[in-house]
Amino acid sequence: MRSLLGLIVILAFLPVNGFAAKMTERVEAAAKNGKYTYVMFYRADNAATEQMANTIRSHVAETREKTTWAVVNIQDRAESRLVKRFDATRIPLPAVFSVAPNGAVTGVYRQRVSQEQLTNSMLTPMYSDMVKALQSQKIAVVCLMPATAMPIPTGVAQLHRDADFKGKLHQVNVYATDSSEADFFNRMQVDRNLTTPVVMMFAPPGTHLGTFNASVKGQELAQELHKSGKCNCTKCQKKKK
Amino acid sequence: MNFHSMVWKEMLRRPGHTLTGLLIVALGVAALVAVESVVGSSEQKVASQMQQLGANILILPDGVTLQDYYAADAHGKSLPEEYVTRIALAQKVGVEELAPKLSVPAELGGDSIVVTGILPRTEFYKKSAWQSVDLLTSGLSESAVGKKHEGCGGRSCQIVTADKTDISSYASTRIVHALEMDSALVGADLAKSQRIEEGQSIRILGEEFQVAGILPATGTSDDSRVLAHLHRVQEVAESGPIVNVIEVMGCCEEVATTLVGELNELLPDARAVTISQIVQTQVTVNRLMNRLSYVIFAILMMIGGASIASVMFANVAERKRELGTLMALGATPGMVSRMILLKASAVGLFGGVCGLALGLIAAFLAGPQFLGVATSVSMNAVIIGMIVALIVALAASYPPARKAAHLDPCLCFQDS
Repeated sequence: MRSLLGLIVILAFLPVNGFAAKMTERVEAAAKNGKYTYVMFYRADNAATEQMANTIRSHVAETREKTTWAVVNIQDRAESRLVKRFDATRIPLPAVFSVAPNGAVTGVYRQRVSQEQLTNSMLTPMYSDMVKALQSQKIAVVCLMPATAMPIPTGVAQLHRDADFKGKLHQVNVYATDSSEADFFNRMQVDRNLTTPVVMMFAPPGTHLGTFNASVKGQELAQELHKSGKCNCTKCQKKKK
Repeated sequence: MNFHSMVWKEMLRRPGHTLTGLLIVALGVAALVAVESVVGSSEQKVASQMQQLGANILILPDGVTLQDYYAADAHGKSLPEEYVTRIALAQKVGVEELAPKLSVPAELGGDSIVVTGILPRTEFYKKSAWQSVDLLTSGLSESAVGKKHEGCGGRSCQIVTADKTDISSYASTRIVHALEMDSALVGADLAKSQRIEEGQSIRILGEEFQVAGILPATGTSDDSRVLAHLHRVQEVAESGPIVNVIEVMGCCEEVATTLVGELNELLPDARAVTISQIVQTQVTVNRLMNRLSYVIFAILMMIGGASIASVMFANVAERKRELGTLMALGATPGMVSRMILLKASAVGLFGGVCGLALGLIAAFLAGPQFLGVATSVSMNAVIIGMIVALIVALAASYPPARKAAHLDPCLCFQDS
């Protein structure tokens, strides 16, 4: 009895931050293990919270190999880092974020979520790489390649050399022979049986700038970027002024 | 003695009669010019607001009504900030920018000021980036999420351009691209009165803020405010994540009406209103004032006309003998009637000019003082006032002039 009382006293005086941020650790561990994490935030235990938790739970049970989940009450001070990262006090709750192993947020669903949405938020490694680039305010240049042996279209290399876009591009090479990227081709609406490379360009947060064939010149890609007004190069800035 | 001096002497001999008619005509013209000038200026202000903010929508707490767009955050009621995220994540067609605001009272250099928390664009970029995958999918398959409003530029790209990063552009765009947590923007009037300069440190609500910029004068309440990061203002004011108003910048005026319905559906505890709904009261008042000014003008002109006619009839009756003498000496009936009409037109014109001066003085004093609008002269009212005053004076004098012209000199002497 005395020892139990002692434990209560110790617990009462322990600073809240002294407790381990279990959910934060879980998210970090999942990233290390190459798993997707569904981070669910809630304020109160109600029907919406329970329904969302059930949906995620059953989805994670089906995709145990690739996913995990973390449930965070926004009032839990021990998880304040996670709450702050997703600005969870300022979003409609309950809400769930799909976080790729590379840290890219691949989906956010508020108040209700479906199995289909959770499945759609799971991306191929190269797709999540592209999303991460877009979320870092870069222009994504995607090269969809028939095979690894094939050279990257010269236009892409020329675009990289253009001083206007230095440090603003992120190239993603995806090979049709890589079966793990089949879904990428599917989502980009490009046939995997392609014989020549296809180049696609995207601007943040998710604007499709254009799809080009392998013979595209760097100048054409640059022109397309300038035309879209989304390149932020010095020339365009001067024109805007 | 020539014809004109006879008319002039005649007017001066009966100054009381002349002044009565003149005063009523002057009052009528003054009322018209004053009201029309103020209403015209108010209409111009409304039109300029509509042009500048036509596509904008305000999300207000339920029950809040307002007439001044620029003071939309000064009602003391609040909304949860999660509504902002809700709008951002809903990716409604036509929503270009979001600008939530929270205003709190504070003190600066001993003066009471208002500190307004604003959210930089980068915060929304971060949130819309969470939906990159949905946007990518929609961009390739034309689904509803992230769809552009037809004919519009649509969603602005998030690659930062120089014009977006210029902090002073807040004055015209009401959006700031990026704002550090400890930075503040100071309104032009406040900076002038407190001699605040860029780079200086100011202490508000017990916290230090670095002045990142002085905003150009806008003629709105923003000129006397301090603007800081919304989350910092919430923190120092210990208000929690709330806002007073959310400004939604639509891509074009056409989309605003559709968006209002959608936003009201999305946020049932709030009220979405367009700028045209806000200025509706002002438009109605302007229309009423406009009609009223013409009614007052018409009534006063009728009274003025009757007064001039009565004065002229009395004058003709009183001056029968003099008129008879004139006619006996060779004055034609046309000359007699011209003399009376000239006197009437002098009353009409002079009354009009006096009314015009009186009306302009009233408009320039009352406009800025009571209605907060810089008055400009309504040329329509000036022209209409002057022409109608002259016509009324001439029309009212025509029957007595005609009567005078048909006087028989013999009978005039007989009567007297």
